[in-house]
Amino acid sequence: MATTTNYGWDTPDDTDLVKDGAAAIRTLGSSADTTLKNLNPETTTGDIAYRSATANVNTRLALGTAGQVLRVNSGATAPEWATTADQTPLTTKGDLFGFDTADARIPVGTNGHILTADSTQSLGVKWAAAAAGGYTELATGSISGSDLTLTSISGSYIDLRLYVYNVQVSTASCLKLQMNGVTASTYAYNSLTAVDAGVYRTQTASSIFIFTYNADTTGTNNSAAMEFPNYAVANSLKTVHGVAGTYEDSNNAMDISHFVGTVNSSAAITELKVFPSSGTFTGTYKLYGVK
Amino acid sequence: MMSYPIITIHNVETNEVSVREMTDAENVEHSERLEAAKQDDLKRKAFFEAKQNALKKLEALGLTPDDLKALGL
Repeated sequence: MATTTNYGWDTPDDTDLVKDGAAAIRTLGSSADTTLKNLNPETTTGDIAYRSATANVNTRLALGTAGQVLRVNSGATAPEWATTADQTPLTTKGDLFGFDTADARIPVGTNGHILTADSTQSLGVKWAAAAAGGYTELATGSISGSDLTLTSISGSYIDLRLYVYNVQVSTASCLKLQMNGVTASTYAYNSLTAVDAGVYRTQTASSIFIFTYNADTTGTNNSAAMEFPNYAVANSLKTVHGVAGTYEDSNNAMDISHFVGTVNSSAAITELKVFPSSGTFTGTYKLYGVK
Repeated sequence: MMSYPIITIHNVETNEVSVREMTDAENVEHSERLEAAKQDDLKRKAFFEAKQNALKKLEALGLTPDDLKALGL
């Protein structure tokens, strides 16, 4: 008996008798009905069909419930509707999506903090306070006695800034600077002052003049600002430049010192010493690391 | 017993501040430092005194620093 090309339904042969036509048509119709039903098993609005393991027989998948998504089942053999777990680890306002070996939550940081890369953290980042203007206060305090020594200065910055202010000396004296405990006459500096409108220079000093002329004992607001650029680099001579304002002793007038200096020390600066050339001094100091 | 000068040491790493009397060794170093500073100061004073004297000599000759510049000196 002849069959259809795609579904193999029985059809009458060319030589079949007309009297068998009704039976042949019924057979063909029944086959078509069965096949169409097998291919369209849906019974309810929203049903979908997918191919079964049997050729020309589809399987009905009933409509899922609200919010469900269509996914492949655990055996990877058929589709299914499923309610999936929340795919985000976020739980709290401000959380960020992070990752270590799996998705992870980065809790929101403290107000004003910024997100910073940090390879030591499990998620590779952390919230941290932003450096204020690139300056970090390393030390501050009151000056008293015959000298001020700042020791164990971190090498973690690019430059150092040292401010001394509200400085008063007990006897008319200059303020001086030494670095890294070097006391030998291996300091060189130039100092420009207003009093003589001139430059004093030397290559064999034992320290660097911060106040070029003696400050008067009655002055309570002498001040100086010094910068030590690239101070933490080894094998490089250490330098300083700065300005100082003083109430100058001998001429009873204001004076300004603008100085640049270096010392024959190639080690990173870890110690700074400020001292008056005689007597004692008071005031305030602040040391900053600059990045 | 004679007292030594007071010094302030600020350990930046630990933020410990020590205000105390100098030790014997520190006092020796301090004295040497002040003496060296004194010598430095004398040199500086001598430099400016020499400058002032030279200016006075110029003035006595009726010259000014600008005259020397004009001469290329």
